Amino acid sequence: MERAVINNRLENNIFSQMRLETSEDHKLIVPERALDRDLRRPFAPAGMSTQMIVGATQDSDLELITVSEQLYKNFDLKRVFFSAYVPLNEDAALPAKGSAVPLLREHRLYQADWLLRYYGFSASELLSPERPNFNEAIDPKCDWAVRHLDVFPVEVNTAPADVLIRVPGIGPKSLERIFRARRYGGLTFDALKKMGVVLKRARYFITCGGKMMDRIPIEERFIVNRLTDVDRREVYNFSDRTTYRQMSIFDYGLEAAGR
Amino acid sequence: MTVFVCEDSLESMLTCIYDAWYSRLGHDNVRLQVAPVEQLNMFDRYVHVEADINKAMAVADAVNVKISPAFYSEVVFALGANEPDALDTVYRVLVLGFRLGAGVLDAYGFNAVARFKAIRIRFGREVSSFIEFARFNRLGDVFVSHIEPKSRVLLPVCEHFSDRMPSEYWIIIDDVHREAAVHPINSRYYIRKISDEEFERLRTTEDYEDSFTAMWRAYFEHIAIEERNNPACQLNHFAKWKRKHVTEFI
Repeated sequence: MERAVINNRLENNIFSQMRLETSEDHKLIVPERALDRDLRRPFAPAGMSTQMIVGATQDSDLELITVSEQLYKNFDLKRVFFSAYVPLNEDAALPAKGSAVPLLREHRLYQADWLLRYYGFSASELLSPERPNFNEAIDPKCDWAVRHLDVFPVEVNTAPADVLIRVPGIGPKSLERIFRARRYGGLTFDALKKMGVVLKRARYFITCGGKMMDRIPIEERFIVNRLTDVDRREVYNFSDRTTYRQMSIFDYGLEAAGR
Repeated sequence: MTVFVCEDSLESMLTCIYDAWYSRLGHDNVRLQVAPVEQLNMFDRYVHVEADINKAMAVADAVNVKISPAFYSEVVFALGANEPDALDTVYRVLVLGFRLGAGVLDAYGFNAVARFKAIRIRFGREVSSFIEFARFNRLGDVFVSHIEPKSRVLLPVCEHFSDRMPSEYWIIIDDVHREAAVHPINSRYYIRKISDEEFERLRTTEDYEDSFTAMWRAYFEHIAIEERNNPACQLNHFAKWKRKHVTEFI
């Protein structure tokens, strides 16, 4: 069958939308017969989910989260799961056995997935064709915030919900608590801390009663350095899988003594 | 400062609140504490409170009627939490609640409220972890589970399972607080204290392994993916003290 005919038939097909995003790789993955099926069938009432394997192909993060966003919007998917590719078999088209498992990338994709579902972000805000992959050193929300320092700092006591939810360190739960507490008077940094706002991230982006927590320059490089420091441990845990251990006398001492 | 000391049970804690309130010493001059008192202060006066069902009911009714039933259930959960200052914090929150109404639980500006919420959240987390990690063992027709929580999580845990398994006989035993929730088939469960003798008998149920035990352990061993092995993360989600009766970790 001609490619054009298939594409025509697949006008509303899920794979065709993916095809718009990426060209070559999906020919490898999507079996030809799958293209013949109409996937706009009624979906399961409890909700559908899907899984994407990260790192098996050359897809960028932008492609992955754009497809996820479309799946959420057009197909009412409940969840998109990401799974770092663990090589088990030898295959020329796949990463070699023993290559590193991209766990940190998977983690960043999940963080972005949450931003899409609960924080009102869109995929195009988080990444662009010029920067198709997530910054490994800081999380996507902080990354977005430091690139939009014109919006910040925001006043916690007056800011609307859609602005506050974009502040790193404030999530849906602490947002709800902030809004409930605002009816009972002004908030302080102390109260925010008790509400579960992560001040080690939020302190660079908010004011309470017109004042920031510390006297700091609102400057991209400065804030990025500080936030990188906050995330350092997490990144290290993901990227460094060596397990160091105490040397033991049995490692070679006993054998040497026996000789 | 007068310190009112009571036993670790809901009834006696509510009685303690009643006595402290009607002692007319002023809210700032009383403190409430659960026995045993580890360190006595030199200038404090200690008053031991005996549980009294009428006083406890008076407090419960007052909170339910004058504040709100939802507020009361929050209070009960917070009193069940394993925190040294839970009782005193509840007292402070009740003082605010009677003055300002149920909405006071949103006002984080009050230190008592902030602390109350922290206690309540920790309690809620403990509840959800024991809902997730209660492991049942089948003995004839009855499913038996042992848990060893720090807080009194039996009530909310049972609420969950009575919804989940309404048509089974099951029993959940809290080994720390010596309480058991018994669920007869297709009817409402009840919670009762268990005596030492009953406790010893119930403990023998743990020696028994049903047909799924070995299978579950084998599944747990083999489902793991080597590359994703992350003991630190596992400890974060499932602390060692919660693993005491969990089949795959015994």
